[in-house]
Amino acid sequence: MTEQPKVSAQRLTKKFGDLLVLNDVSFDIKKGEFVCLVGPTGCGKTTFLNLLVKLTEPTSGNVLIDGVPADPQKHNMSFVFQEPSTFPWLTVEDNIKFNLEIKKIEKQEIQKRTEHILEMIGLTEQRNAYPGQLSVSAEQRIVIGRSFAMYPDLLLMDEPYGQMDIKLRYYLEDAVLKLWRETESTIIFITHNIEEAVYLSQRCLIMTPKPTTIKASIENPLPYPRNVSAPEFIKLREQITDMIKWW
Amino acid sequence: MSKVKKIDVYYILSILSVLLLLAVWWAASAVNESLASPGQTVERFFRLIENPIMGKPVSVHILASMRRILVAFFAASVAGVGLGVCFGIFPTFRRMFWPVFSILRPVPPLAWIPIVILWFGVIGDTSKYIIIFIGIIMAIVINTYASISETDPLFLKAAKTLGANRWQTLVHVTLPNSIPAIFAGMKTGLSTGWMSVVAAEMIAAKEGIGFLINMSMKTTPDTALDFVGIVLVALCSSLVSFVLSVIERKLCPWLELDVK
Ligand SMILES: Nc1ncnc2c1ncn2[C@@H]1O[C@H](COP(=O)(O)OP(=O)(O)OP(=O)(O)O)[C@@H](O)[C@H]1O
Ligand SMILES: [Mg+2]
Repeated sequence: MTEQPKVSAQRLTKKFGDLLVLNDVSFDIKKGEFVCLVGPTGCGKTTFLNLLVKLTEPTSGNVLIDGVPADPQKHNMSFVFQEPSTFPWLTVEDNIKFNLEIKKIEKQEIQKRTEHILEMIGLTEQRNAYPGQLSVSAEQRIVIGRSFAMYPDLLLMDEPYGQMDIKLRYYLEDAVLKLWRETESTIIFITHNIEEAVYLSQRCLIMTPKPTTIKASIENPLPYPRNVSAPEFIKLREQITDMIKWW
Repeated sequence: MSKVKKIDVYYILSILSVLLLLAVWWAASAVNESLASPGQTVERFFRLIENPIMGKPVSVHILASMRRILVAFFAASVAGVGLGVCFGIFPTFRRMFWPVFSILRPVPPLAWIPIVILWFGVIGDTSKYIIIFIGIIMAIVINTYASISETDPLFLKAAKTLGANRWQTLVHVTLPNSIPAIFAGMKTGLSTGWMSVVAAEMIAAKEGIGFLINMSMKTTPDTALDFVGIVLVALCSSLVSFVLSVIERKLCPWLELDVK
């Protein structure tokens, strides 16, 4: 018997009015897998994640988590949106604690994790600041910290590092890999950056322009930590880049 | 450094505008004999302290008005936020009661005076509380409802995917996000509230600032006494608004930021 996939899209179709966005898309994502979704702008990557967490309903087809429809109150998952979604009325620290408190985790454990996360996103000194006082990239770091804090089984990240400078991006790429290793979570990571996709993921799902289908699913067997200038890395990166040139 | 200077300039401008108002008042009273001047008003105030009307010192009038506005304000805030939240989060409740509310909302609170007095009598404060309550609650309901129903969908999406249920979303997201708008509603409500206080006291009271104002028309016109009432209302309402903004600043520290 094969193991139940963590995420399973079954003949998923989504239309907005007459606009056909996802056209009969099916794929599975295994437990503990790190998958990058790569596709042209407007092809429906964000829409797919929204369907996955039930922020919108599919026109037809199904998408399941652990074999059942998503329920954020039960599934331990978190979602880093494309735009910074901090709560401006909470301090950096309270933003990070938000769902730990909602999930009624023990106080000591909350504090321990918060310290660790603040350290990781480099905002320990700004813990009492409000998001409005920080830069957009710092805001996005808060959101990333908030989603890491609950050690999610399923982590959805929608171009999380788009706003960041290179150095911060490299640092946070390693941070998400570390989290993935430590918590054995399943991660779906959307990016336009092929190098980032090859650096992070075990598999890239390449999407076509609208109406969207999966053009290819490319396994990436390179061992971690990956070296972006190794010939095999460059070869894989070129292969994927070639595949999407016609966008 | 330049910031400090800017604040100083604004400070001076505010003082200037108050002085300007006094100057206009003074000029108007110089032109028109029957209008009391600022000086006469101050003098009338001291005379009022020496010779209280119907034996009641000024403090009694001030405290009576303050008590009425504060009690009504407190009740209207609790009820107004509650109603606004219900309109905002219960579609059925909104469909049932929003039309009723919309019909009643534009009715001036003073129009209720005869009915309320008929039901609750002139004596005692109940009828005054009700009139003032009606004056204050409308703006609070509207603002609460509007800001709850216009909550940034991104906040709601974030709360939902973070596993918050409806109640947690309300308490931890929608309400905190609405606090500034609720306070704006409270401030608007207060100004209608003061109008209702004075009107209700002019019609049916034995004490209060409105009662003083009403007395200024009783025998020979006493515009100085009217101005005493006007200034007292202005000062009291400024005091209440000031306390309210202090509370707001305490509750909304994130609004106190320098712009990004
Ligand atoms: N609520 C909506 N109503 C109507 N059209 C929508 C809605 N949401 C998305 N769309 C459309 O669906 C298509 C896919 O949008 P989506 O945001 O999923 O793209 P994306 O792949 O995430 O793009 P990007 O890389 O720019 O983030 C776009 O054409 C968009 O205009
Ligand atoms: Mg998108």
